[in-house]
Amino acid sequence: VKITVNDEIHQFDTMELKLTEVLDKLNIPSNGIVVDIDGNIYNSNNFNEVTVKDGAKLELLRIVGGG
Amino acid sequence: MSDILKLGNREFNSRLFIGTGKFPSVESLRDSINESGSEVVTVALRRVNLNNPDEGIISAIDRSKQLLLPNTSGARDAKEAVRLAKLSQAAGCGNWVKLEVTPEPRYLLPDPIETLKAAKELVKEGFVVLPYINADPILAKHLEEVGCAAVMPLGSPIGTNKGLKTLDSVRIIIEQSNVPVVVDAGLGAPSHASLAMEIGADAVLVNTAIAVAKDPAAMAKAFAEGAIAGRRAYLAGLGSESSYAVASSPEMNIKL
Repeated sequence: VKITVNDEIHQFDTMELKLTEVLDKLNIPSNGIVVDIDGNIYNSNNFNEVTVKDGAKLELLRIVGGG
Repeated sequence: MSDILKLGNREFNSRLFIGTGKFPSVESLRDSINESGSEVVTVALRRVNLNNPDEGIISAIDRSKQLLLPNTSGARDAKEAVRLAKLSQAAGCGNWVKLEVTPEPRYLLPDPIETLKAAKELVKEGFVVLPYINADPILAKHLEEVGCAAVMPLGSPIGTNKGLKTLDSVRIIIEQSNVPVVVDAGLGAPSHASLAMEIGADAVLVNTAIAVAKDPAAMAKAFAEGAIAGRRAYLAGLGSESSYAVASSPEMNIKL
């Protein structure tokens, strides 16, 4: 699959993969992360259930300091 | 002194809210929150840096003591603000939100029309909404009417440290408001926080002035004390102003 993560294109050698696997492969700890995939919002409670398909656009966000 | 701030369905002892941006380190932020005694801390939501994913800021916040208040900074219209609020909620921030819609970067002034629009929608979705606004008393009333838990008028533009330049308008907002008024943005010195509290603000929110101080934790404490002094003065009842001198020593029996 070829997917876009925060505007970067990433390619993996499988037909599809779980969101958990995407984060693992990118070395991103899932704690506190929220993911928007084509307008749907997911958090660590359901990363395991979400399948990422070819062409998906992912936006990974997290809490940072702010006023 | 028992003087509880009731906001939404929560009660707070501290009237100093702290923003968590721009601190030199996570340790410095943690020390500042502790020194200030603050019970409300704001955070933002940003894209993960894929090369350096963990910022670790959350570890500075003790959620048994501090309410996490995510902002919608970066939103340029109502739609983006609502999306950011929902993403923050999914990220584990609960249902409170500091609504912030700032379409232009030079002054970061809030867009009143988009803010009202987003506030209506977020209240309907069950959020506790605290909107960041210019010091506009009519807008403040509109936001109260659509169900916002507080209004947060600015003292001066974000990060400018200029203080309470909107003093007269904030006074009107305080006079008319049935929800807490939190003076937010631009407070650059403890005396500014004190002034806001003296005129009857319910709380103040400070970030930059603390974060960029040489000693942030000490400055956090100074702001906390400024806010307390101002609050006590407000409750004690300030004397009225006069154009002419009013002798404080007796004027009778002066014969020398």
